[in-house]
Amino acid sequence: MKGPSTNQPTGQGNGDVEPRLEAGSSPHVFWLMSLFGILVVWGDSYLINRAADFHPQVYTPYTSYAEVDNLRPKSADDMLAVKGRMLYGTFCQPCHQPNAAGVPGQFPPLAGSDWVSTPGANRLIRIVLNGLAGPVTVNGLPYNNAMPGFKDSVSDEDVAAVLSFVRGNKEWGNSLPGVKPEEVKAIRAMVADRADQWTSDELLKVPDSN
Amino acid sequence: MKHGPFIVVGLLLAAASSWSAIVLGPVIQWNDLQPFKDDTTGALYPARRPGLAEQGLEVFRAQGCFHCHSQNVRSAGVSSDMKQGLGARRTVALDFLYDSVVMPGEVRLGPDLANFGARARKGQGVDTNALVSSVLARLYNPQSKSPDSMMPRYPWLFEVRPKGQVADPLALKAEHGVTLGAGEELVPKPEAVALAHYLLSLDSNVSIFEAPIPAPPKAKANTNEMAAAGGATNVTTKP
Amino acid sequence: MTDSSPERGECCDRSQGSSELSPTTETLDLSCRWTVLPLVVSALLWLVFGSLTLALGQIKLVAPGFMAGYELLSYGRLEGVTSSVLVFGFGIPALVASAVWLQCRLGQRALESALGLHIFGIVWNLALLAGVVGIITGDGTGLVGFELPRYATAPMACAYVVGAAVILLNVRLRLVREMYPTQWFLLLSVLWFGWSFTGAVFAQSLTTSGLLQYIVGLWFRQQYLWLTLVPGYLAVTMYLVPKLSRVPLQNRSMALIVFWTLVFLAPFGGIPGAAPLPAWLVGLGVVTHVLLLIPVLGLFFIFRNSRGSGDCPMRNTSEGRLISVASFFFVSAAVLSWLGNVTALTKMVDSTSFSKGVTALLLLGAFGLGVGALIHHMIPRLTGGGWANADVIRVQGLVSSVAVLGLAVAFVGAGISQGLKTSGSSGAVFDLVRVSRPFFALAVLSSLAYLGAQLLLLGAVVFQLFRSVNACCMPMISLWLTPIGSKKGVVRS
Repeated sequence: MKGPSTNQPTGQGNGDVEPRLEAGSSPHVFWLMSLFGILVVWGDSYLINRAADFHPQVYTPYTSYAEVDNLRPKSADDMLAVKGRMLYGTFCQPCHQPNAAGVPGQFPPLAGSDWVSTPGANRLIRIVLNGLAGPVTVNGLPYNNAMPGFKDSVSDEDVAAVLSFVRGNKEWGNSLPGVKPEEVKAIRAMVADRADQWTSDELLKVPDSN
Repeated sequence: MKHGPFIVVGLLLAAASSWSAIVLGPVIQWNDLQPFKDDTTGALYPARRPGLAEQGLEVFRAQGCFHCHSQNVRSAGVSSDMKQGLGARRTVALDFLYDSVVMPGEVRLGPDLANFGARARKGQGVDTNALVSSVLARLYNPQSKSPDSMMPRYPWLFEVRPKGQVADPLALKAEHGVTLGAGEELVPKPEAVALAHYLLSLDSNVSIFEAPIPAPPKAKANTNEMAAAGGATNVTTKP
Repeated sequence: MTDSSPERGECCDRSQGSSELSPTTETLDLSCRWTVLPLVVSALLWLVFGSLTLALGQIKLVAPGFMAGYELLSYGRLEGVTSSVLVFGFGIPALVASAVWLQCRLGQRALESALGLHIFGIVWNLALLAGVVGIITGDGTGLVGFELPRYATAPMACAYVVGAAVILLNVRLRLVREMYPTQWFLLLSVLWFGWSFTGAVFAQSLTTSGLLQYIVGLWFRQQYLWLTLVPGYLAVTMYLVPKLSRVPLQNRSMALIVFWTLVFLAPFGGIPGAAPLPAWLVGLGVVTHVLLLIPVLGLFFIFRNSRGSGDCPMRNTSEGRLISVASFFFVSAAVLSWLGNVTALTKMVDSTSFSKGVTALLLLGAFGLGVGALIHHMIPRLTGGGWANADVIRVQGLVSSVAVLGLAVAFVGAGISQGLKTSGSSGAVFDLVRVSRPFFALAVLSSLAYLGAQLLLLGAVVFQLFRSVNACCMPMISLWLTPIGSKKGVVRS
């Protein structure tokens, strides 16, 4: 082995001294522990406010079980509106868009639409059942497309729910009275033989309310 | 510290407490997690996936689809997922109740798939051949429908077979240098069909307790007669 | 040279120190040589393989048509392989090798029961190979970060227990009873990985509920990142910084704070902010990542105060520079991880490549470069004589650091740009592709550079190995091969 050997008992070579630990403390320790204490207090209050007592059924953005419980649809009207929103999402949203603004030139809007805001829903029920094809003017703008009918996919309750939702959705600026399943049933019976989509001219001849 | 055993005990304590909190806690809390029962229709959510869709779940896992696609609609506070139409409500643990593999995903290099089935089916209850074919076409060649897409092709999920007496309803157009001889057709393998059925079964747009779809602001009374404060005939409201 | 205050010249010349080791230190190193070196070489081989799959995956994001027809090379499969190989192929064996050498040096006792470590190395690597082949052919578990199939993780857990037992035995038998902070952190890593890995493998075997497996996967990932790899990095930092600067580690209280706050805070994190989990779990994750700033601050003070006054600047050695870069990456990772959990900012970074960037900073930056620094430091000492070419090592360190920085910037940048796009109410997905593409291109370049750097290191280590084999064994071998009776052989009397 090259180089002078040392007699240091703990094996400290010339070029290779193992590190040592400085005992004791420093002022930084105090400040760090204080910061730690502050953060623990913050964390504690955060958990008290946001962790909803560790309840497994509370998800953000809700912060307590009571809040979630409150949002359960309580009345029949509420449940119908929830159902209507889901049906809208499934059937109508792909074309008429989540905010019911439609697509300019392609799909007419439902938010603040003159066709939706009629006092009665007779035309709307017919459109949902059989569809609408050909040129139509909505809010003064022309559209020319083909909407399928859903009479084979949805029940009278479903049609009533989705139309009540669309007509009554304040977020979209609609606040019209809703639709009852009996009305849908009556109209479905009236147009049972019809398989084609409606045209705008035919519908405008139908009175929107009885 | 000279006290090795002291360190070990401290470490064990910390490990045990984190295991208890993060793993045992949910185990106990979810021990009797039940599907949600709709009060009006009596339907249970989630429903067990039909067999083909459940096989498709395994294909989804094996192909590593979760590395690019999430299945997680996030709440309005941390995202605009619901505004973008990815779902009517946020995803919760209950949505994965019956799944043997849970892949909410961590990265979205491709669209979120939590409600892919709902978007694709548009309300149809049955997976028609046309619907399955459209999903398969996207697996075979994603760039045909979305030229900008980063999604890789999956040609190994398809194979060339001799035609039978009747053409396979799910046969596809061959691309990327695959030539079909006379009397041959390009058809999906069973894994591909299972995957397509799995994707079409992805629908979580059901209001449940943990994530209620809130009722919209109250509408007027549900009558078809002219409302008291109602409008005139054929009002043209502003667009 | 018994003078305790080092003079300028010799201080800066200590990277080639092994020729001046005392007999005791040389014995210690010799006892570890044939366990540490194979583990390091195998870890580097996996690291090279992992960098290759990482680069290939990133290329596929930029050019989806590249090698598109091969099932085994699809992006989904490659991602699973990359994360498994980098953590289990490189991370754990490198950690074990470092722990063995550091324990020998700090405990001042020759390695005992090396056989256990050989068993660990062989069984672990074989099982991992089986697991990687499994993931590539479709057997991955579907849990991000824990994708190895059970038929691989079970033997790996058994092998690990054997290896850990050997390390613990050596800790027990140490001659220097006072434990230096590095040893606390190594004890933490070794024990914690054993408990969490075996626990996770057990839990996965016992339950068929996907939800519970998902939770176990999330928990396990946090444990191996923050309580196995990070303590490994901390152990190496607390060893190298005072050793290179010849200043005692400042100080015991701060080291205690860093240790115990890490141990009691870090295990509760790791739950992504927008995960489909109850509010209390998500809340725990948020609070943890804020509180984790405490140990990081503590480390910052330790590092700054132990760096010395400038007589022995650490930056004159390649390992000193690497450790500084690794520490920078560690602090960045902690800060980014805290920022990502701040509710107002989660919107921008959730479900994007951001979390991949933070993981890269911890795994390849802090731990990878930290262990890289230790490799630069210990290989010459283990193999006798300095590095054959110190310039190659310096370049390797530089390229490695730049590559990891590039990767981190690429992933974090891609994540933030994706998040900014989707924060608007209509984020068409293909806008995201356009916005991320330049960042993914940067990731391709960085991962290729990283691959190159690791190949360099592997080459240098293997060369070093051959040199030492040459030095120790070749004379003996040539003696055996010399026919009896020739001039060079044993002369008949």
